[in-house]
Amino acid sequence: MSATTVTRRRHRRRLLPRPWFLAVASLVLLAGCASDAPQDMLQPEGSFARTLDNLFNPIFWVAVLVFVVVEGLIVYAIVKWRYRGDADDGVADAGEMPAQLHGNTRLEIGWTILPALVLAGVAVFTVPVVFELNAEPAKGEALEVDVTGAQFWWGYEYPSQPDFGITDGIVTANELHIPAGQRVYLTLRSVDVIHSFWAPKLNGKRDVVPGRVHNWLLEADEPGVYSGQCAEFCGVSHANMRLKVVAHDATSWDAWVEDMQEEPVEPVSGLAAEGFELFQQRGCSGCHVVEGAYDEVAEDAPAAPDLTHLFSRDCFAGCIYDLNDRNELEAWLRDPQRKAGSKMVVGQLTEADIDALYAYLETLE
Amino acid sequence: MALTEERPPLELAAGDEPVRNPLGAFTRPSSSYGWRSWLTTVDHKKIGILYGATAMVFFALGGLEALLIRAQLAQPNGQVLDPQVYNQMFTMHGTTMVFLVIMPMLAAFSNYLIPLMIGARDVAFPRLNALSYWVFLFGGLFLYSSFFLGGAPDGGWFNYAPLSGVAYSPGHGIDFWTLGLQITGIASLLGAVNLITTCLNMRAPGMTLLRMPVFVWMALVAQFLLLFAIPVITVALFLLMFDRLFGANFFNVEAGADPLLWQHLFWIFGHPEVYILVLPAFGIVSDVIPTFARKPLFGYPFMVFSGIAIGFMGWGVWAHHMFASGIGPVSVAAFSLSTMFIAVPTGVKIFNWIGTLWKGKLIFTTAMLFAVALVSQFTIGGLSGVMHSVAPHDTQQTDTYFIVAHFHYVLFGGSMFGIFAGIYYWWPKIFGHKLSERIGKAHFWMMFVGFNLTFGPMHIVGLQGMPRRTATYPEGMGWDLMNLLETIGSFLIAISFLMWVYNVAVSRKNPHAGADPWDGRTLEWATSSPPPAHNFDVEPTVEHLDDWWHRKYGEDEQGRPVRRERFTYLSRVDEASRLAGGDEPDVDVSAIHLPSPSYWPIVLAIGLPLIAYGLIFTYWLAALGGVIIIAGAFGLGLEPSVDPDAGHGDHGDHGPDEGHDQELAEVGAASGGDDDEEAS
Repeated sequence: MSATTVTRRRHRRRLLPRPWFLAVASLVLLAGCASDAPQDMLQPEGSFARTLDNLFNPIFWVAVLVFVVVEGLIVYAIVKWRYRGDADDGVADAGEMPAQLHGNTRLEIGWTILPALVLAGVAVFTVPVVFELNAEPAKGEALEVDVTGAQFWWGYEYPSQPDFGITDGIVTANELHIPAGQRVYLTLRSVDVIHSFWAPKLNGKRDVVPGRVHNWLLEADEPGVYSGQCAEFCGVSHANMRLKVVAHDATSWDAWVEDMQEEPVEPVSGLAAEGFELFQQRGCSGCHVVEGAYDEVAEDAPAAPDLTHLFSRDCFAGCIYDLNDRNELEAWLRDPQRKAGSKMVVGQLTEADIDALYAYLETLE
Repeated sequence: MALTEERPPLELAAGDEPVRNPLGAFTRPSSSYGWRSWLTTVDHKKIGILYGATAMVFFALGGLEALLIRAQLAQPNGQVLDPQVYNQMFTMHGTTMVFLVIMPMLAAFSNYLIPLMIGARDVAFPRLNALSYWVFLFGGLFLYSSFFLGGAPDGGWFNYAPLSGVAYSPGHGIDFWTLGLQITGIASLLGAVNLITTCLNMRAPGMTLLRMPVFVWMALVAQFLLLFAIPVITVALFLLMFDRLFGANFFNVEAGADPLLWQHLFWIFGHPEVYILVLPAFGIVSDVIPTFARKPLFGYPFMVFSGIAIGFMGWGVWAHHMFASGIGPVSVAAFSLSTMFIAVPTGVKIFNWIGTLWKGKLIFTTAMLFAVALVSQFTIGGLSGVMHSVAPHDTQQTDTYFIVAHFHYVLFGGSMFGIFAGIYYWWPKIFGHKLSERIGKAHFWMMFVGFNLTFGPMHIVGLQGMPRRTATYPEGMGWDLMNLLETIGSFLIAISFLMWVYNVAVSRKNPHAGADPWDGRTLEWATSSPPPAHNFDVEPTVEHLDDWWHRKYGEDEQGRPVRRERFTYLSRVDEASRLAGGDEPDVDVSAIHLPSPSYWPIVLAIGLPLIAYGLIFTYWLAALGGVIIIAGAFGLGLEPSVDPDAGHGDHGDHGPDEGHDQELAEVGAASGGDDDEEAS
């Protein structure tokens, strides 16, 4: 833009970047939509998310249509009625005036009513879905799970539900296991600040508010692992409060339920037994429950994940670390503050301590 | 004026010795130029410039915070900022841009332009006006001082309870936020009362409400929104302050509080706030587009009434910020409907702007480019807004980058582009010379591309499930490319801002632009550039909408405008403007009376941050602040608004570049009047 003289050509060139830019932008848009994103809300994989998507899709395309019409009118007006002379001489010298149109009441009433009608159409489809998604399923129709949000991890408790093979109650964390093709009815509670439970491919999000009890529905069509995370800003490690939903087919669901209802065997010898002792000596059992071994936590302990079946999971600490990578858990035991804002406090552990603790934790399958 | 005629403040009985130092504290300031005049001015134009300059400094700071955010998010697992600092950055970015940039920027335009556009000599309460600026400035500085006093607030601009409580945010950052926003809220309220009174009571003869320029209308609606919205946020801030500083339990869940109380209070303020931020920008482009389309605004009454409708409906949509909060399906359905239908008056505006462009003669100055970009970009923000109103699907969209994209298309693509349109458009009126159009157009294109490159891809990552307010994100989520593009775009915006700064710097030497460089339509173009302190040598009598246009143009038989051979400016103007056909009024301006400068507004204002520091650190400071405020209030109240000692003709010229209008320096505003006094 360094031309010093004002010419018709230069004026024209200045207006060119608009279509050029739009073209590039739409290419980028297409590239973006095509990529593989595990939290893509436009690729639902469960009935509730699909209900939302089915509502959104037509509205999205109506919006695209309105966008094209409005922007088209703007671009048309610019191209057609742009003054091509030299305006730098002064606006008043731009020659003959256009017709001085003050308005057109009929037209204006028209473009007030027309959008209102379109929106009324949108409303007709929207409102029933609001109620549909808030409906409470009948008892026994859906798997019930109590979800607890805490800075910065998720806890899950499955009350006893013989319909789903659960007779003894199950407690786990971060990874929510569900049977595929079945409705899941979540009861959401928070122990500290507001969180929001969100697994985009399975449903929208619902805030988890302290002092309140909220409910939310999930369903996955197929077995698989679905990514999600806390969606309400909850403090320093909000970004690190992730979650996974693991959907099982019928066989593996039964196996998971069975495993989870077995108490782990207390190690009696070797490194694991040392770790078992250390688990109490180093204060781990003050906050973390291991069923059958360490059932009581300290009274003022912050909420901490149940470790009874720790090694049945793939991730830990708000699902940001891979539990299959031994280094991750060892690094965590050396310094839980590697995740900012972690509430876990450990004294200085020696490398021998860490090896022993790891050996013990590994037995908690 | 009606409010003040009955009781001129502290009229001195004839023969009394004038009181030089009303409280024995200060010698009354009298200079109208030099740095001191800026501290003591009560001239709405100088105060407007102060607001604007301050807001642009905060814009640079808020932009810097945005760049740090984007640098951190350029790649997965970014290491530029640690999460504490990141949270401070996005909190301060949002708070700054809303409260310290767009609101004061619109206060700047409203202050400078409303009196000129309605043919008044000043706002209704000039001294209150000065007070509101200083209160705003000190509130903003107080908020920013938190960076040096233990860390900035980090709870987000929405600052949800209970995370904002002492239990989860033990530092002082959120105290600074709570107290700082209460202070700037006082400034907003003072400004709202002042400007509403100005619009309703100070209009020139014949300036009926439906002859007011659309900018004045939209600013008036926004001021009403402020008047009713600021008390709501103030209540919320006040409760939070009591929770944090004095152990109250308004938001303490253990004591039985419901955290949704904060959300309701915040968004009952927060949604009208959106219209506070965007309506005046709508007003700006509604004045810019007709000027450069060379035809009147299409459907003026529809534009005015749709703005008023937005103002009313804006109070009934707040809970659409809470569709995932668990407020129950009936509330969700109701607010979903109200949110959809607020799109109707907004759509009317878009179509009427297009109607104004239609068959016009579109002259693409920089101001026009920014204005048309607003129309085009706001359309995108409006359409994504309709998508949010589909409440069930909003449970997917909310708290993702799709929302971030939406409100940046509204507040940056809308408000900020409107503000830049206004800056380029009124710069020659305010400073006497145009900004360079060549640099301006480069600035526009760089900002246009940078803006769309930054916020366009956010729609995509948002729909792909990237949540807002996250300090980092892992690999493999499909968000990497878009985030990189966004970061590149944000740096283009930064470059475009620097181009504007450069433009401001180099354009100082541009030739004088004349009184009416754009062949404008409204009264501010009928006076000199910059206007004299008293705005108009003759008080206009208004006969038309776009009165100045009708003074310049008659109509031929086909109804086409024909420029009159001679027309008369409302003030003495420069030679070039006279040669272009404008005559000058022949009046004696020595009888025009304006209030005198005063130290008291700045003195009073400085007490407020002292109280705030005192509440955080030591009550002694608060006591000192209280004493200063009481003294300042008495000083401001007891001081005659017109200095009885001030001679005639020794003060009153306006502006930073007196050089342009030497002859006007002679035209002093004199003292001793009852025209524009405060009803004290």
